[in-house]
Amino acid sequence: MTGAHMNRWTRRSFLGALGAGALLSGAPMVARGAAKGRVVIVGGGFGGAIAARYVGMADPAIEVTIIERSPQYFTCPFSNKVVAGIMELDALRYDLKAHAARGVRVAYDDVVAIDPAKRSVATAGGKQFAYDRLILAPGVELDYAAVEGATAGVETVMPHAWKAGEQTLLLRKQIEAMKDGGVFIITVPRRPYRCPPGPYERAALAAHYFKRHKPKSKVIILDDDNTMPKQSLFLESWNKLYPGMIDWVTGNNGGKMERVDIKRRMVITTDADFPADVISFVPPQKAGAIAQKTGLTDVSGWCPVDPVTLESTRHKNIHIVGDAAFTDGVPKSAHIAGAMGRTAARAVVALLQGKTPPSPQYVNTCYTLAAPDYGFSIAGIYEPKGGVIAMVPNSVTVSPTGAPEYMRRTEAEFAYGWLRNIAAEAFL
Amino acid sequence: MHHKVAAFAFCVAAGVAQAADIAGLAATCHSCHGIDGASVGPTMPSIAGQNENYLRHVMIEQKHDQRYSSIMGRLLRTYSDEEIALMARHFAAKPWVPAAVDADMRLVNRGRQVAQKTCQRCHGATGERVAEGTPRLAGQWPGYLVIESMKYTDPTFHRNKPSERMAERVGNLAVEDVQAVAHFLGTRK
Ligand SMILES: Cc1cc2nc3c(=O)[nH]c(=O)nc-3n(C[C@H](O)[C@H](O)[C@H](O)COP(=O)(O)OP(=O)(O)OC[C@H]3O[C@@H](n4cnc5c(N)ncnc54)[C@H](O)[C@@H]3O)c2cc1C
Ligand code: HEC
Ligand code: HEC
Repeated sequence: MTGAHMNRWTRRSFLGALGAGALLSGAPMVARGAAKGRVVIVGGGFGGAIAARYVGMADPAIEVTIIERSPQYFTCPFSNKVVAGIMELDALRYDLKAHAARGVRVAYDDVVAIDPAKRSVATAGGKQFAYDRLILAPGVELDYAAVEGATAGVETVMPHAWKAGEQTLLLRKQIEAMKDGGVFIITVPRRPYRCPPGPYERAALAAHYFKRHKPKSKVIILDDDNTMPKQSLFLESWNKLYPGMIDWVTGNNGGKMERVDIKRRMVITTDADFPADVISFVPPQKAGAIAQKTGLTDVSGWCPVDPVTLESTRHKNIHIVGDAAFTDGVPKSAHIAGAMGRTAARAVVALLQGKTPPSPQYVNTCYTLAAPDYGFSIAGIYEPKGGVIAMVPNSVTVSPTGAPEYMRRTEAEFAYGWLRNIAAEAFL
Repeated sequence: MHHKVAAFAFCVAAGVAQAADIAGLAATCHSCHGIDGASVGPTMPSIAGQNENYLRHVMIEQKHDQRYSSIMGRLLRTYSDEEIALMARHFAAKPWVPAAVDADMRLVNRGRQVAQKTCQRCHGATGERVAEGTPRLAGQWPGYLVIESMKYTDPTFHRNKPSERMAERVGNLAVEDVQAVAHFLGTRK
């Protein structure tokens, strides 16, 4: 047995003997002789879970703890299919059990404070976790305060469904209860927000549902902006699959949302009132609340980072991963969250071993479904350059327009293959 | 003299950076092809332990748009052919992990017959044979084998068919036979 394997085996069996109670206690590990450092990861979504995976693979002697508030995780990717009633939410459920089985300490708790000076994390459950390096991957906070009228409880009337789970089911229920000839609105918030093509995919898949079940209905997109990602592909697919069904109101044409009226169920934009039967109100976003509270965000609401290590430029020893990071033009996707998870893992391991972190490449891909058998994709590569994460020239591409049916169908099939593999990378 | 040393140091540094980088570049493939290239399916191909020659020439053809791909050609366009060759070597050296698919005996039997008649000559009785430029098919994900084979049979699809030999053999198969043979090959170990 090699030293590395031995360490891992010893630690796992030791943890097994301790039992779950001790695992969650957060008390310093007694048998930590072999540990080369403590990495605490806050947030066990795509970014945090993939980071944990690669720290463990790179150096099994490093002690890894994941603190995640929710015992189950539903992937946002493919959740628009759940909204459209063509997939069940359970198919998107994952958890951190495989991490625990590999010897990662998993604590289901809410992180309420981070002390960058003392290098320690405090949870709602009253525990303290000390770290040498912290990886923070809390995702986004929905910024309801930025929209007038979006008072407490707005999401129960106008579901965002921008974090998958209950909200996804609520939106589906509302759409299923809607009358034929009704109006469904989705709002597109100011950029940057999680998953740039997501709102347009939702519009398309909602139209797919309406076309089959309520063909007199309409979909209205109220957009803060004047362009959309994969624009020619979306427009081509809507014309082909759902002619006349989807209205895209751009920012310059009165799509900019100013206010919502919960009682009258309407969105008020710079130009007009838009009443609707069902509204998926996706508000503006910023870095997860704990990042703001810790002083890791700047005026943009996101966390500025070093492009090579993803270490915060505000507090040492804290690396920001996923949607919460401010990364110029890099899209906020699960694929990028994974790329950042691997980058932070390599950086943290190198730093703990006293080595120089390698310069990373961030590859983005985002598949979109306009119908269950109609997919297309965008891909792009980003690298550290001049202190920021910059697009590699010529690397950003989309699927061609006018493609044969075979290509659209197989890209939809590859999209599902992607989901299975990235979810396995994170959670299995 | 001073010059030479500097140039030499640069070469060494570049060489080291490149060697270290291949693992980093290769890790960018994991979210689609699985950790170390062992896909969990159902449509994404495993590339771990695949024939190095095949991996290399497929990627180079994809990059130069000499072979149809939905996304690979686009992903590869900023990599040098040399980086691609190093990634092919990297993944070929990883262990092959056969697809985890439960065998449906009805499909397996039909697929075995098709394979004997139409594929065995070049790919071996179970798709295990790897010649210079042919891929291992035994244990590849059936979902992927179907998609790849349909390139040769789909009437809407006529761009960049990579192999005349394949087109001749696979192009005339019924969809049911393609599915059966893919299932048979994919459930071999
Ligand atoms: C409708 C929709 C469709 C999408 N489709 C795609 C797609 O097809 N492809 C793609 O690449 N991306 C897609 N995305 C984007 C993708 O979901 C996100 O980019 C990704 O989830 C970001 O990962 P993350 O780790 O940063 O955040 P998350 O996945 O949100 O994970 C953050 C985790 O941190 C936990 N957490 C937060 N704060 C605390 C705290 N204080 N204490 C403890 N735990 C905490 C949360 O519970 C959560 O589990 C989609 C998004 C949406 C909304
Ligand atoms: C976004 C998902 C995605 C990423 C990332 C990705 N691939 Fe692929 N790969 C695919 C798909 C889909 C195919 C099938 C061909 C196509 O349609 O593009 C494929 C096919 C291949 C094939 C041909 C396999 C065979 O058996 O025929 C090879 C080799 C390959 N990829 C290598 C790589 C390497 C190396 C990387 C990393 C640099 C990579 N891929 C990154 C999705 C991806
Ligand atoms: C006459 C020889 C020959 C026969 C018969 C043959 N193949 Fe192939 N096959 C090849 C060669 C050569 C390649 C590599 C082509 C390339 O890479 O361009 C290949 C590649 C493939 C691939 C990789 C994907 C691709 O894009 O080409 C699949 C899948 C495949 N064969 C399946 C089959 C099946 C299934 C059969 C039987 C129904 C079959 N082949 C019969 C020669 C053959």
